[in-house]
Amino acid sequence: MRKWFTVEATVIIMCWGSCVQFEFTEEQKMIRTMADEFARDHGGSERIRAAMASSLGYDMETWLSLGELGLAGLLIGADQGGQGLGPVEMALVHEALGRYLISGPMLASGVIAATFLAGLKSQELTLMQSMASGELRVALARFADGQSLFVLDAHHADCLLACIDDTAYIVYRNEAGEFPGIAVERLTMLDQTRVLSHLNMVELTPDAQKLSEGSEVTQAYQDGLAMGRLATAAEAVGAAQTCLMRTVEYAQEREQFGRKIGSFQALKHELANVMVNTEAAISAVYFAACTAAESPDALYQMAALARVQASEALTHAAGRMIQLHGGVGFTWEHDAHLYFKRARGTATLFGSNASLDEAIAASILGDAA
Amino acid sequence: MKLTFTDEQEQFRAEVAGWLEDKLSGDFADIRGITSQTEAAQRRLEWEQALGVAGWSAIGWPRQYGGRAADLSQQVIFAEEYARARAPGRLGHMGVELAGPTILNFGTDAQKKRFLPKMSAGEEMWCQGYSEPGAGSDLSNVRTKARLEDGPQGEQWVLDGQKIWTSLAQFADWCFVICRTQEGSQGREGLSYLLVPMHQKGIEIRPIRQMTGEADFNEVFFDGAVTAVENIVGEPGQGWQVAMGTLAFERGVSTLAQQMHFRNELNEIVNQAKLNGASDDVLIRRRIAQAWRGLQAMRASALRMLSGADEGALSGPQFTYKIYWATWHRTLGELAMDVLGQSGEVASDDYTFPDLPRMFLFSRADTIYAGTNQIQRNLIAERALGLPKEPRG
Repeated sequence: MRKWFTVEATVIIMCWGSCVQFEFTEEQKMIRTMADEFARDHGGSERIRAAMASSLGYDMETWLSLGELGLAGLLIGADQGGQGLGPVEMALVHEALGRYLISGPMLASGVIAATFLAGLKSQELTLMQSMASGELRVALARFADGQSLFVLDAHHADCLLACIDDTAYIVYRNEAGEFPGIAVERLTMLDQTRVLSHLNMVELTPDAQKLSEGSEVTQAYQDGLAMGRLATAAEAVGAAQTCLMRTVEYAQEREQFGRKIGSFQALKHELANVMVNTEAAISAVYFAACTAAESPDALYQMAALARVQASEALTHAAGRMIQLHGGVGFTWEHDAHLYFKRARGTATLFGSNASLDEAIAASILGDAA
Repeated sequence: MKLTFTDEQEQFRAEVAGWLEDKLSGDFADIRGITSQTEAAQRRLEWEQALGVAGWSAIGWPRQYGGRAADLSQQVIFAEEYARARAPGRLGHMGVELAGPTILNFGTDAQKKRFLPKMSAGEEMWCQGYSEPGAGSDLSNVRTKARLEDGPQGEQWVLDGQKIWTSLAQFADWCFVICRTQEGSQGREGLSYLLVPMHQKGIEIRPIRQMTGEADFNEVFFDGAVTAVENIVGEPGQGWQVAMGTLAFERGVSTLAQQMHFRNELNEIVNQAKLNGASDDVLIRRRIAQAWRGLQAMRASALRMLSGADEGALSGPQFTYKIYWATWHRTLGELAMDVLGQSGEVASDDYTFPDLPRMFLFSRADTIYAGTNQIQRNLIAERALGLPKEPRG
């Protein structure tokens, strides 16, 4: 009976035709399959934990492989050595990476810095080509009063895009391996799968080369950050799906009172709630990516939508993952805390959920608080 | 992935919008924006017929039954424009959205010819006879019985029992009824799906006054009510399968129209907040943003459902959509009241309310009808997540 219902509902939807094209193209499906396989091969608890404990903070082999697959240059134009793909493909790749909490230069360099550079009139061809191949890792930082706080992946970046007011500079490491005039303080964060740093600009040395100035710098910076939010959102829905899947598996195995704990309605309803929020967040991320691909002007608001929706879904899913695993979910050995901490880090990276909601509200209400 | 429409589709949108605007600012201006199920019923019956004459009543149906054989995109466009134009809620909804598709899929040719043209023409209204006092969440527990007997025109079904929560029964010419046709059967076995004329001695309708003060629902009593032997969809004993097929139609294009309606409500809340200064409140601003996010997520989920963005038999939103929209809408009602403040609690002398406060009250039903939130969670856990099934008596 249940099976019949399933088949029937499907037939009804199929016979309506497929004219609304909110579905992935063949190329997008291929990218998704490739990214999923890649993430599965490079994920795994041991590998993620080894990366967390390393001074680099990520797995170098994983990053090199991403470069070989061409994924490092996903958003970089085909004429600049990249793939020339857009937000939808990016979201699919980051959703896959997020399932296993795989991090590395992809987000800071391949997404944020690449989007920033694409927004400048002067196209840095050599720079973009090296970024697309994965040889060069770039981080973006905006300084106010000589400081830039919580900068993603600056500690290992080969070069820094530094924005001061509406001027952008590029700073390479010197022979001593340092950014001249800029002190990097690597932070150990609650979420150890990402590395953030505080930057202190002692002086702007002549080594800093001016890239651009004017309003395009501010706009490009906002676009870079927004694209970063969208990628982070995609990673969060990937992570939320893992939380749900692993907790369901546990509920199907673990027995108490002589029955599988997943047969208790108290657990079922908790898990159902996680699925409801996760599915809504997946929808929001795909929708945001698709809308941003069609109307670049919508990127800022769509990224805010996706980021808050996904952040809240992951916070919920990871919290339930710990609770429904019971004592084992509280141990260091179990991965639940890694997802829980990723959820916390997601809620603050590139702006708090409250500030993004305020941006949405101001846009809807046509004012600014 | 593509969210934009083609030029041809945009032309169709303009045609739909033009027709609606013409009628709703002309002949039918008096019923524009009516959301209550029962208000101005006579005029809305005329509206159903106007839709039928112009061929806008059931556009997805084949032409021979009064449809336009419209594809999915056109149905989406029509549904969106209908809601955008604030056209009145459809008295013909139960027929066109539920009974019609069921007959199209499971009915005989004779049934299609007899029922569908009058349905799409707005000449015959329908209601749904599913729930009973003892068969709510446990729908398969229906006790209404039907037996075959000789009548003046040959064999006929004779029905005895009671249905409840039957919306629009007072305007309906026909009712599709699940009832037990096999003596002594239990649960999903032995049920049949009958089409029963409403205007007859053996049927009594009693309105149920609900917490809004209005009476959108009814009790329907069958006391020796009759219908012809051929008015059965599917075989005797297959009623459960046919009924579940009907429920599947509830998740379709109409969800997108519903969202447009929700968007109108959110817009109205935003307008009110700007007018009365609630929009300066940081918490209200956050809740407006949350509501907007939920609305976007629903739109995207509906598009995922309709276009099969996920491979596999059923995509996630097909399981999660009902509880998501119902809960979202209930929360929207609370936001509306917090924006309106105490003045939102003022009723008229006959205890009726403007749209937003009425929505606040009515949205308490959203998480109950068409599968309570609790039943939805069971379905999600068991069917989508594969957790062990509840023991069923």
